[in-house]
Amino acid sequence: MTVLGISAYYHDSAAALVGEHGIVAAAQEERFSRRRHDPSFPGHAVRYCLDEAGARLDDLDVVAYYEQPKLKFRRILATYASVAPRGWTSFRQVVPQWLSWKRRTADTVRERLGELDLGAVPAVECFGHHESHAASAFLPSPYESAAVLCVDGVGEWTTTSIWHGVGNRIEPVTELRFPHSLGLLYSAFTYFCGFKVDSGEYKVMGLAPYGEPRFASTIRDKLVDIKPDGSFRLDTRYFEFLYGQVMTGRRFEELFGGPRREPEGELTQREFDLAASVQQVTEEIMLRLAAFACERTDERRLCLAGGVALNCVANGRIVDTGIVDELWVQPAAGDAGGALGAALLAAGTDRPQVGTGRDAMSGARLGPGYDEHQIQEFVDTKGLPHEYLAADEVAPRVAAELEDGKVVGWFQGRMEFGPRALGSRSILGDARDPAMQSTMNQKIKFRESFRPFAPMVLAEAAEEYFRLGQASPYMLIVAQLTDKQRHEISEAGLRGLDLLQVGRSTIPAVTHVDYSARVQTVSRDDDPRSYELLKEFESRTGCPVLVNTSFNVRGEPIVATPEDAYRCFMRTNIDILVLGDFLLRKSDQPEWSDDEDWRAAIPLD
Amino acid sequence: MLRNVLLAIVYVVVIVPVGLIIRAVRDPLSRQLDRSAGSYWLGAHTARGTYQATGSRSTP
Repeated sequence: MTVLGISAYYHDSAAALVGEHGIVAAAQEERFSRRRHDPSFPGHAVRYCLDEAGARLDDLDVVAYYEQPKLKFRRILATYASVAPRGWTSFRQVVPQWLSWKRRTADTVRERLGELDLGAVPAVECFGHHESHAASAFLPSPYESAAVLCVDGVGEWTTTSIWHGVGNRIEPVTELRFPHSLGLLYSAFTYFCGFKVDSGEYKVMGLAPYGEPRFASTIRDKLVDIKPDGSFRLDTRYFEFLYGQVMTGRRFEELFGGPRREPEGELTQREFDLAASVQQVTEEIMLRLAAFACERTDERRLCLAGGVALNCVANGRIVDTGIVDELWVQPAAGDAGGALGAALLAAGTDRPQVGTGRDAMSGARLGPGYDEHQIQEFVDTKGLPHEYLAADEVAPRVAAELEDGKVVGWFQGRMEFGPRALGSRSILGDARDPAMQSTMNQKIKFRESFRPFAPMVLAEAAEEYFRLGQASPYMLIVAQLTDKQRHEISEAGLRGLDLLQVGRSTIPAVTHVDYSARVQTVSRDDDPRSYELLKEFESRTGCPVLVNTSFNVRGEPIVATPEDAYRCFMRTNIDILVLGDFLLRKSDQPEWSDDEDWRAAIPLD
Repeated sequence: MLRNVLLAIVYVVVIVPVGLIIRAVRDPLSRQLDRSAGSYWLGAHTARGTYQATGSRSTP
């Protein structure tokens, strides 16, 4: 079977293609449209996936859509009925588009596919939202059988679900339903802290180590009733999301000391403490859910997906506490991954990766790649000064530049699927450099300085630096630094964001104020290019760790093409761009000018 | 304009009374907390099955 999977029309649209021998391609629409978290029909991503397979729509057996629109519409109507007459404003805004096309999204998908003019469109099958998540969590995992836990905002009705994955099947075990949602609880705090819902959640997670969880008991007492088995209900009287387009209102403000922080306003201790509090409660719920999922399925391995599975601090706690023997998290855990899950469900393919110790994700490198000829054509056409390196020269040369304090744009192989850059579309720097964190944040990413960067580390050297316990190839597990790497420091008199500037370890650029790091382990199998680079850097410096941040500026999607990469390189203070085997120095490049104020054109994230 | 009027009519004539009646007999979104309950887990009713673009829905 050849199946095209699609997720669309809510957040971060994507397409994925699954063939006879497994996953062929997967990509998010935002990378092509250059609109972050683009929710529109993923026409570019579909075209790319078909190109990668050398297929047309005629060649597909079926198209798999990641949720059931009619069921979702029924939930939306039931919600309005449950709160009427309070939801009129939202009803007036939301219902017309459901009546006109959203309730028959499968037909809309067929029509939009037809417009691509790539042959006859096959039937479109719709799968459940959590069913798609669960499939994306288990089917590509390396395990013969496992417990599967999906936690997100909401799809149709389900917000939290447990499944049992065995062979190439997933069986539902139990679930929680809207409005009781851990994803929505976290999003409510994201909103209240002045960040954007559905994208600022990782900022809340990044803020948490600065705060004291002094509101955690209020959250437990008032907002969410948590049972020992991890099931929970929200007290919806404190939230506004049932009534309209905002998450919190007056009652929430009364609980947490006044109005929400205005977007881009000053961050205060209250936001730090709110973040610490909701993070603590989230971890508590996730730990209980993980334990219950394993208990109910009699498994010791757990697969995770859904937006909350991107909470890598909670994932790290699941590993650290020993609830599970092994954890595997779908790298595209959010809605984009639903396209892949739906496609895998429809394809019903075997799982040849089981028993090999490897997953079926190809290191998440499932997007477009550019060969030597294409990159040569790009630099020649644009007349860009460059140096062409022999393949075995790339790692030594780049390692030397990194040791010299240079910031490197690293563009190699196929683009990653999911929100993390893993060494294909990354900006790299020296993690030992105490100034690197603020240099990269302010001069390259143009963003707040409170967020530390993530380290990429040689897989075989990871335990020397991090108390990790297992591989973390997708940067989805946070671990503590080992004692050996920590420095004795004094934090006397320091508070808030100043704490990050203390050189608290041998790798300060990637060490958070609580000595944690969002680790990516790199193996030769996953990414030979980045692996060689880390090896070279280690042989020069003794340190097998580099800063790895996504190749983009704040608010922009990660770069996809050599042209995107060059543009980002020229607009920022990246010193060196490496496109495959081509090395470009900033100092050699012709002057760059933008027609407009490009920073104003990129919406804040 | 006409659309808004029609929507308002549907809202007032259908959504509000249906909502009030349903809420009089049960808790449609199960919003009530039950501090004494041992668990909030539901049975295995998670959305599954396929909906064909042609309109027929089948559940395996």
